[in-house]
Amino acid sequence: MRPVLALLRAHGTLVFLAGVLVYFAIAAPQGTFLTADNLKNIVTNSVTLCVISVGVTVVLITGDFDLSVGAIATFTDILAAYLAVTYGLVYLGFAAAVLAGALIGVGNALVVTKLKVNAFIGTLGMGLFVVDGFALMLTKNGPISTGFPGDFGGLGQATVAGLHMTVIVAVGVCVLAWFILQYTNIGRYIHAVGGNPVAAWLSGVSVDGAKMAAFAVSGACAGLAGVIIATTFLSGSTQVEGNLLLDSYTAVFLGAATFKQGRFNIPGTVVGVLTLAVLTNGMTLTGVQAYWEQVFEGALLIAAVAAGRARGPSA
Amino acid sequence: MPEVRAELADAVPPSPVVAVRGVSKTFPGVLALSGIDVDFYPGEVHGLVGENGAGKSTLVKILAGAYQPDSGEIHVAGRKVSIGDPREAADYGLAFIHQEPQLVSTLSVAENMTLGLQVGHRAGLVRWRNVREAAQGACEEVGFEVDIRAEVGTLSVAKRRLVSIAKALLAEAKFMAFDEPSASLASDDVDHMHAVIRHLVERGVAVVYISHRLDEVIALSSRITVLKDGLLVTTQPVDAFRDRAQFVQAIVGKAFVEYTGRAHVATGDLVLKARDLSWGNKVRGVSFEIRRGELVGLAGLVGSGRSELARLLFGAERPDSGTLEINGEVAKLKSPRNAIAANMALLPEDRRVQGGIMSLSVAENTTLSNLAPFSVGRGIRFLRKRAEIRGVADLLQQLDVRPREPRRMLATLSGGNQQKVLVGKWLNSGATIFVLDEPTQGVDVGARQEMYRIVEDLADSGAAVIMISSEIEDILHVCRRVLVMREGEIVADLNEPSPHAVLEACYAAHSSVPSGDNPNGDSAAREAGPPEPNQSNSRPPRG
Repeated sequence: MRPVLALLRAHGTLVFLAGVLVYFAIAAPQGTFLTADNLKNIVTNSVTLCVISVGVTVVLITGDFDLSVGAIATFTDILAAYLAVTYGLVYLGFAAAVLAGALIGVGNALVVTKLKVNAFIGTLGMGLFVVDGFALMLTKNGPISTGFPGDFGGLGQATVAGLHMTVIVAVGVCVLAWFILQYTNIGRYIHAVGGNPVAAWLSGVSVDGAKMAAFAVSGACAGLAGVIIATTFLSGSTQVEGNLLLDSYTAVFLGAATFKQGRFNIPGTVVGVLTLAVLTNGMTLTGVQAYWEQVFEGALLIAAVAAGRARGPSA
Repeated sequence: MPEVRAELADAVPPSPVVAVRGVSKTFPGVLALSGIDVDFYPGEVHGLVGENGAGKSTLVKILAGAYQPDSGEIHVAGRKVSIGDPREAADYGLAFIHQEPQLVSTLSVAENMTLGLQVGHRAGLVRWRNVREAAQGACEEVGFEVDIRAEVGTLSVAKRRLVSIAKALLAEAKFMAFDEPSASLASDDVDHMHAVIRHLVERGVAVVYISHRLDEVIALSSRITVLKDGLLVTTQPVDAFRDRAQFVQAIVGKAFVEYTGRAHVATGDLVLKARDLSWGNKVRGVSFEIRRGELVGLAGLVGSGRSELARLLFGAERPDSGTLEINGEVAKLKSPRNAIAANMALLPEDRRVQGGIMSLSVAENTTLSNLAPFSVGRGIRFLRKRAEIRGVADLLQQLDVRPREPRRMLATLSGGNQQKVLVGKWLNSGATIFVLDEPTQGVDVGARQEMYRIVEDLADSGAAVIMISSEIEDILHVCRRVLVMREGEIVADLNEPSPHAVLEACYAAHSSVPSGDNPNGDSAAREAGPPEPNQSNSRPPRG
């Protein structure tokens, strides 16, 4: 029993993902789940969540929370659509949207480090009121769903060698974030601050700087996620993003139970995102009601957090 | 109470309160305890010593119900018991006084003391007056003067420990285990703690005293058990341990040479000059000079402002007034970062909280303050991890850190080795001025000797070193020059002082008050407690 528990604690998500794959392969109607097209679908559909979850991972590593990511993605979705429809800006508009996300991230960091507001509350307030407010301002005449320039959907819908552009972008974001975290001084400082901010500060690390970087990355990722939503669905609306915030935390916490128990890391997050995507896809194919999906996901979030927290007696 | 000593000592029947029989415990890959047999008798202090990892804590945790033994038996009052959890341990009359007392900081002293007990309850309701009376009584018994309505979170560590002792008294514990009870206490508080323990012994409590401070163990214990690597080396009456070198050898298990400091003559350039540094009422008008290659001890009671001075020197606090000159230039330190740039280093007093980052590897901890040698680029620098591992491996060898594995998590190293890694962090940053705050705290005897060697090597290599320690022997082992702080001021700058001279400087304020009436709460508490004027040679009663 003990080794099984240890395995579940350390690599629970991998075990779970394997189980889920096997289950749906058997339970879903023949020829629907385990097909190349469907698997590609799963990957393509998980792009937005993946990009947003990478940012969340970085902030969680510093030991803080960023609950504004869903709102940021909604806002930049609308901002990209607005700039395209109103000013005809496409790629410049995308860049502006990502930058806006990063700036909101900097705002989050200032609230947390300078005003000393608890990150949980600070970023929730920033997202719910400030960012959502701007989003509503830009859509006061209703969702933006028409009048896009011809090449607006290029990013979201074009394919390269059978892969969606967005998949390539998401892979790039993951690799870049992983590289920064593992192979740069900033990444090292982010880990150090998350491990022990006092000790990091007494070692000459700028704690505020590391948090600033993490929140900016998180904001930029959420900003990019918004752009992907806009160009995929050709729509700028406050309704699009669904449960991105909750989904991303579920994915990231699943990720922390993937390779190293209780440690947030990018490869883990990717597995977490895919697990969630497989689950959603499989439940749809097997005809599970949407509300059961939600119940199940909530339980999964709690289980993932518990797996990350629970530690053996030797720890 | 002291009068009953002799009679009680004769009356104690030799039947142990707690008997440990053949207890073994393994953790994955580690034999933590192997076939331990030991008896704890009422009315005596039983010293439990051994290096870190020797099994002391495991044994105590088994008695506390935190761990289950793999084999062996525990007998309480002659009855075989199985202690499933801490609650059951309490039911058997076993109490545990931890370094960090396990109290609820937002509840009052009285509430904490009666938490989980049925004291003052009637028909399921709390009778506050009874609760307070009971708590007050227990506090008075241990000579602990405190407002029992005060929130525990506002009390000092020393007082919180007293709260947990009073709580154990209230629960009528027959057995109390103290885990490093004198750690981070000032000498006054230590004396009081010892007086309390002697009092407990007179009441017939079986006391287990775990400490790295051998003098304390010898002074208090009737019987001492030495553990090493999970095995019981010996259990003998205290007299067998009077020879200090032999005692240490029993603990360390290898030949041991008493270290005597090398001569560090301060002929180098002036590197650090503090003038009138003040910070609130914690550091007041501190001035001193330190030269290259000089090794200076900074002594004083806990709360005398030593750690605060260390933080000022390192830029972790900003002085209200005064100046600091480093290598002849006025340094305005705004943060530790500035201090590090000026080649300063601080080994903070609390290794776990301020020093190490337990979730990072040894290498990552070592290079944190200076990644430059192991990275390229500007602003965002790219790490050269192989070079980092190699560089850190060299440092680990130089400092004799074990195991010599840069990739290991810092948390998996023993206290002494963690401390060495944290020294290595400052060697890597090229520091030339070291402030070491309690470098030997919580490290075992062997590691302590190695820390002395490291400190001396630093000075030999031309660094200026300030070593803070609450243990005078630490300082006198290696420092010729000793600064003494008292109430925020440097009150003495001594050259090759005797322990007596240092102690006198530490305590001068107390002895200079002629009336003996001290407004300080702790001292007042001492007077109410069991008498203990200089009892370092007296013994508790023996069974």
